[in-house]
Amino acid sequence: MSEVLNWFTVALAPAYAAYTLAALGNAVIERSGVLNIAIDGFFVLSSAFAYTYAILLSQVLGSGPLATYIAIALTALTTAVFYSLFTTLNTALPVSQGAVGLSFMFAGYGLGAVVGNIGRLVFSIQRVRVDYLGVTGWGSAVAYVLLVAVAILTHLLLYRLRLGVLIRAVGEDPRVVSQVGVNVTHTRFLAGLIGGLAVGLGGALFTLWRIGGWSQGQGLNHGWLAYAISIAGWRYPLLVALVSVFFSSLYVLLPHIQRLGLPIEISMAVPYIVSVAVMVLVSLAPRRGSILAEPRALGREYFREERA
Amino acid sequence: MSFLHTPILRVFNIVKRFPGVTALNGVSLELYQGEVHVLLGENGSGKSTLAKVISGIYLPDSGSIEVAGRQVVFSSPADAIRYGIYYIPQTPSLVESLTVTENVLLALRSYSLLAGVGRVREVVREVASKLGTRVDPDTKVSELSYTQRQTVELAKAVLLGARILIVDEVTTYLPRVVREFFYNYVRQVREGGGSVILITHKISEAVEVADRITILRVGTVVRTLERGEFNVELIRKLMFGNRVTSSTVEQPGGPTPGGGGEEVARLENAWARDDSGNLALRGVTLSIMRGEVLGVVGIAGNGQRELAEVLVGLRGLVRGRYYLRGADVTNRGTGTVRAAGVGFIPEAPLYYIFSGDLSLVENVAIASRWGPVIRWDSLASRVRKLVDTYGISAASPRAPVKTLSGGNIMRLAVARELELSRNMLVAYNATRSLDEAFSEYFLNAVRDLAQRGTAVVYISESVDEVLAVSNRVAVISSGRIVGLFDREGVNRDTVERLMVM
Amino acid sequence: MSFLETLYQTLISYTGLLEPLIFLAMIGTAISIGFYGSFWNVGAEGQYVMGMVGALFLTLFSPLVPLFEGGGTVLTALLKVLVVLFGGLLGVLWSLVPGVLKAYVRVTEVPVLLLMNYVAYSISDYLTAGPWKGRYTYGYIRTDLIPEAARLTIIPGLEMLRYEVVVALVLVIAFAYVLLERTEVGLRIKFLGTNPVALRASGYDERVVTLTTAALSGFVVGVAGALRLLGYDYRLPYNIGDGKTGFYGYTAILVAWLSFRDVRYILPSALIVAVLTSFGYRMQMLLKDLLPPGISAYAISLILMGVTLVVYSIFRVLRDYSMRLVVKP
Repeated sequence: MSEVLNWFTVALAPAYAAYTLAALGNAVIERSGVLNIAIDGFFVLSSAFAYTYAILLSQVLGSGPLATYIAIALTALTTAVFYSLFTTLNTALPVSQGAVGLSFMFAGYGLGAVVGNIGRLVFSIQRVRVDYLGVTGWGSAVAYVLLVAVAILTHLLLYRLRLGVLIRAVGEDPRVVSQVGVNVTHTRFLAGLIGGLAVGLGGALFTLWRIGGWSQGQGLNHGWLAYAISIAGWRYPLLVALVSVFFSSLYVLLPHIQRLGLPIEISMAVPYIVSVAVMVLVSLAPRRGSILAEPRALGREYFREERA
Repeated sequence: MSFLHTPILRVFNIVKRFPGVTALNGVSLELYQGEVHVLLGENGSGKSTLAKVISGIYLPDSGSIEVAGRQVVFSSPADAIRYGIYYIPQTPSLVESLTVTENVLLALRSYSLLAGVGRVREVVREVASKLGTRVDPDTKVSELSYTQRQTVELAKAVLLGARILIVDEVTTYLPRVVREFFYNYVRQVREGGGSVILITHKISEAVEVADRITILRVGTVVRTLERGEFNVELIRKLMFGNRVTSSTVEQPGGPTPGGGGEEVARLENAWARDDSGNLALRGVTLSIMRGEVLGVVGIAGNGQRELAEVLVGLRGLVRGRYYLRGADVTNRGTGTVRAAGVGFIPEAPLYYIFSGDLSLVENVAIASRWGPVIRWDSLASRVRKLVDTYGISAASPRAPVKTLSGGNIMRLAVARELELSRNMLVAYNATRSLDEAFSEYFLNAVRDLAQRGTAVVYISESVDEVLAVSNRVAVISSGRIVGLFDREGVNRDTVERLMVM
Repeated sequence: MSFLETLYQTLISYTGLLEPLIFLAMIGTAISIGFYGSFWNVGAEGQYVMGMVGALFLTLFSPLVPLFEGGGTVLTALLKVLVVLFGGLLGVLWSLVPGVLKAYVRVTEVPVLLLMNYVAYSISDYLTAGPWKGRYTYGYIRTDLIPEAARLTIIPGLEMLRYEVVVALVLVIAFAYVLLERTEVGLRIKFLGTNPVALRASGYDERVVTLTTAALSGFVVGVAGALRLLGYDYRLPYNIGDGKTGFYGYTAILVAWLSFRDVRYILPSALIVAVLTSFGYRMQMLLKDLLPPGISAYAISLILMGVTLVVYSIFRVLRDYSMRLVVKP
């Protein structure tokens, strides 16, 4: 019993926090009709920013939790800015969403490498100590409560507020929505901003809580793991937070379960195989017309001026 | 009524061109407070384009707009709404998968982004009952009827405090009772000091409600009539010019004689879903004979689109069967259907049948079975021949199709698809972006095709066109065939009454 | 040594450039074919590794080599062709999984392709450390070398080139050109990429065309992987995902993009990318005392890729659409 408790409080919490936040952010962005294939790049980028911010802030403010918390907040804001640029360009340019998404994904990888290495460069010269978030029972409990709160807030945002109605509407039928006077680009800009905050928080916690450090390529593919969770929860915030418990556990456990009898090399790939399997299963489930349905404009180019 | 004060809306010398067509050629119009101003004209006369310019959907190429004496530029519908101008199009601008409340909230700019959905629900209920209907605010729009949807549009207009309401062909096909209800609302707007621009192509309707009527023809204003001058014969003359047309129903060439009676295609109790997963066809049974033109008419959004897609194999059936020349081709896809010699001329060729980024030659090549290796030179000369025959203006056969004007793209569609229609042609709102001359040419070509033994399904929103070209007329409403007549045995009124059932 | 000197050295050391140039061009062509059909093949890295795995299997663990060994030039040539084709087939296998999922289950192909790259690394590493672990490896974890008979022929004077690889490159580019410009299959792929509804309305099943696109793209990448193994590596290393592939599968995406999806521009774009990456490596070596090891050619090429793609997209828009300015009074 205490082992189970220990698992949830200590081992799972950091991973759950990182993946769930990124998955919730993805839900908001994709509900607005923007295909978020840049998520992995953004996740890499935000985990690098978190590290570098933490190093720089620790140098300025001295080591301590304050620097870490500010680094988390700054990372979220930075990611939000990049993400809003992404969703805006995706809407304003008549270029396929696949092309724009790939561009930002690679740009995120590359920029992430540069940003993280700047932090490491500073570290190699200054040797500042970063106060990474520790794992305590109480800390984890607070984190779980906050995560549930974030999930509920995301739900309220999408389904109870006018902004959420706008976001879902531009994800369904941007042409009609623009006819009633709503600016599609602005709405998607806001969706990118809000979703980006969550993805950035996820990336920051990945570096500053789950890993506690940074190395080249950190976060690579973990953005996709979050993406799969988001799909598995049908981009519906409450469901996303719920299924994330299961998938985060899988991602954490699978590479280490030797009892599965899998060779170590293969078991490292198991989370990826699981993610693909999840996306397949979810796509197979019929759900047209329901609240769980895929946004109809998802991935489609949006042209503003056209003759009806 | 006194028109001495400044007009509430004044548009001056508006020009709007689309590639290949001048839709508005120097149109001026004045709208006064408290009047119902009818824009009257044939299909393609520029009424809707003018409405879209006034409501900020289109940007005019030149000309000016003044609201209450102040010059304005609308670069989006939001700008127009800010000045109290609200446009209700024939197809309601509602998001199908959202509820009524959500759709209303969407449009209410006075509410902040953080306003709750709950706050609007009661307001919606109130307005709906004031308008005299009951609509559950939590119903999804996809579950509403056409009339209910237009009521939601009206509710939106009320809540937005519209001072100038533009109603585009909304009332044209509504049954008298519902129309009365709309007129009632129009009067309310007028009494409250608002003004209404009502767009129609029906003279009787115009005379019935208008304070003034402005008649448009081919993108220019012919004349504006005051109430005292209304005279059906005069209006008719102004609308149609010197064309010897006494009634819009009269067809230029007369229907084709019936075919040999051999059945080419048959739908049996066909059910199909639309893109949102709602049932769009509900048990359609139709039989299409060799040598006939079967017209299918209905208000937009009643299953015509899905019917056309089912007939060419683009959309599967969830129930029922589809036979082509005796063979069961249900859910066999476009390959089987096209191989059976079925042509398809849809309203938006760049969406349905062409790739705008690819050239004319490539777009012709994809539809003709050439075998594995393509000989572009011989294909190019064939395309050149099509270009000449159909009078398509294109820079070269290798130019991307999207560089062509809308009308020329449509001509290319006609050129390519007529050749492919060995056994059947499915036309869906085909004349929408064609100019008048080519429309006529096209209708003749369709009749010729039928006379040579091809079965034609002619799906359209225009009653006039369907009556002009068809041997038999089917009326579609809510995904059902609600009436099927021989051309001789039916008149316009019957068809229109059935369309709104 | 200065920045300019490094650049100069990069440019004149053409032999060092030829090898990446050829592989980038070959894989870039394959990715281009995918792009034409809107199949965003970011999984070339995995298909490339699978091509290597296939080639190693056939040369080391099948009776094929003894069968053909010592049989004269024709038979050895045939052997190499068979091995390369088999590598291509494994590439197809790897690209068809996301292809099938995209066509029939409507799963976005990008994450699947990327994740499968890592599965390919895993499989290769597992085989290398497990069943295929070599006996003559001086304690390293790696496979044995493939037999001499299966190795490609070095061009005298151009140590980084192999006759077979050059021939293959010519064939691949010619194949792609003919496919896309002369055949109906190519035309279908172009329709799939520009308007899949129109493709369907013309009577073709866009799912089948998606599979075709994925398979053709994966095949060419698999071929490149097999050639790599037969001509250069001769064995599979452990931790192959640590840059031992040169990340050609990723950098070739930039090649495809720079070529404006036109096969004729593949070689020049491959040259640009090859210069950039080897320049990146040289800079890295040069600055390794100054910089932490992370700011690598890898990072530099990723940034270049992203930025190029964004800029390219914007330019394309400006070229295709004339923007209109509205002046408010």
